[in-house]
Amino acid sequence: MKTSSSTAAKILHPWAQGTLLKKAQRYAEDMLAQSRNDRRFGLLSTFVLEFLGRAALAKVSPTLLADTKDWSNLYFSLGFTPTATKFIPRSIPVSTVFERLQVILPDFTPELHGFAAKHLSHRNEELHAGGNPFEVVETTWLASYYRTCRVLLTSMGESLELVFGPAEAKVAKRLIEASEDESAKAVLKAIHPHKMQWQSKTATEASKLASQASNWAVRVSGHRVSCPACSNDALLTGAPISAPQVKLNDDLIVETQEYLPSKFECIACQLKIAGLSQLSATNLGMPFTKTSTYDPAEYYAPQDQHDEYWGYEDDNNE
Amino acid sequence: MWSGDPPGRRLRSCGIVLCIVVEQSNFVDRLTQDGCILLTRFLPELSSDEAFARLGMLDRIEGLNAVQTLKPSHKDQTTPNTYSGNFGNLCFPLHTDLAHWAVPPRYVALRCILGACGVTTRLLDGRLLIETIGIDALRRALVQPRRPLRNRRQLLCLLERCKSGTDHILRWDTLFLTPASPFGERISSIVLEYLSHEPTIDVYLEQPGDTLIIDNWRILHGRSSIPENASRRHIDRAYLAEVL
Repeated sequence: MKTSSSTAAKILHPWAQGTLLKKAQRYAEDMLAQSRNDRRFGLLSTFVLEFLGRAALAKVSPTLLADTKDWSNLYFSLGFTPTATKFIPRSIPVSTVFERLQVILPDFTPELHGFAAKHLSHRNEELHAGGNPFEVVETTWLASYYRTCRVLLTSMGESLELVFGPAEAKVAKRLIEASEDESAKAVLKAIHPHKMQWQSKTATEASKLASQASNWAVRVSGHRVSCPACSNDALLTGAPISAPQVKLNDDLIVETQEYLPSKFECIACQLKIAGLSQLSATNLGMPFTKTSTYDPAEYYAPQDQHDEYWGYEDDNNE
Repeated sequence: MWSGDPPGRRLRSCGIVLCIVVEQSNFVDRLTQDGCILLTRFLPELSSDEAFARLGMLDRIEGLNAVQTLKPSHKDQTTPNTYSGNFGNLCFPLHTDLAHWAVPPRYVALRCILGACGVTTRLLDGRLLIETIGIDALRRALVQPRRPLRNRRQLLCLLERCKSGTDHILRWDTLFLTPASPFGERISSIVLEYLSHEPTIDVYLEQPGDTLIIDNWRILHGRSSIPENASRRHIDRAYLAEVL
């Protein structure tokens, strides 16, 4: 009987590119299920990044993941079962993974390496120290994050869509493009005159304008931020990038939705910025979450009750 | 449906083409093109071992004999780790053989030893499913074996890219695979819904030697229910790593 080596395989090696990539996919799904300003969004993003890094290195060879302090790890990485007692496979630390990738992948630049190392350091702080790095670090890191992920995925012949899905990949590409738009940095020059004008105002005038700006920049109209020219309350507006998520909190219905900013306005110093690239250049380009709170009766009230003529039949020209 | 059609005829249903041949020559090309092929009364005088060996390289699957005997059995007569132990003589849903493995065997060969009237092997071309649901969605749909394999429940995707990078492995099993993420759950429901209304080609393996070869990475297969008078049906199965 003719037999050949089997094409079938019961399991894949835990350090194989395919298994690591699927872990990245799974954590990406968990990550995107969180609100962007939730600390878990940041934490889970580091898991995705680590698995993508390891998968990219495994694509070259899983042996590169083995901790060579014990040759049994190397042996294990080659698909064998070490005979050493109480053997637990050990792989290299993620910092070494990124060091190796910087040498191996030309597109994994020192800048991206630096970002990956910094982002993973936040993870270590979250898991091993009392600090809360993802409570304070805003999602200004998203553009660099997706740029790093894209380089790692491209090295494996894959795209952001595979891990983050088509909708988020679209957002990611816009963030990357905005962050890479050098011409957008011209907006920084436009801020300066507004800053100078603001500083020339009298204390009374400034106080009055600041008060007006605080009253105007209410959350229902957009996302309240600090103006880069005069530091007064200002508003960011944009378009939604996710479906609204509804949660019940203390008998109130809280609806949250992620937005990608497209316009900034400050009524105190009259600064206006339009376009994601320009906003990114002034650190205002990160996605924001719009939160609305409703009374359940109000939320679930039939639309018709807002109708002045509710209870009558539909208008007709009888 | 096919029963006693003339050799050389190609049946079409819902995109699937089943080529019925008596000549062994050129069957590889047709198998590559259509994803499955039926050889009628193929060397009935030979043992299954020998007949399968004429078709390709037998794949030695861990834990299984090279040639396995498939006979209908009642649910309570066998173990729950088998399809018969779950579905008994009812129909077997469309599936990929060993879908819960990291890499399922490439080809499944089914050879009639003792045929039975009214029992069919159902086939559906996975390429239609892929076209309908989309490569990207299926590649993101995470699933897991329902039971651990070597102490692990590995993550799998409904569609995997082959090592060559040009082709895919489609996997589907409603019993041995479970969704491993919310997206996996969503896509699994869509696949299930798709399969529930998509027509299949029904093949009768009636005459000794009738041999059906299925590209297990592309074609989903199942079995109709077993009527009372068909309980002696006997099919031999082998997995082929490659066809000759």
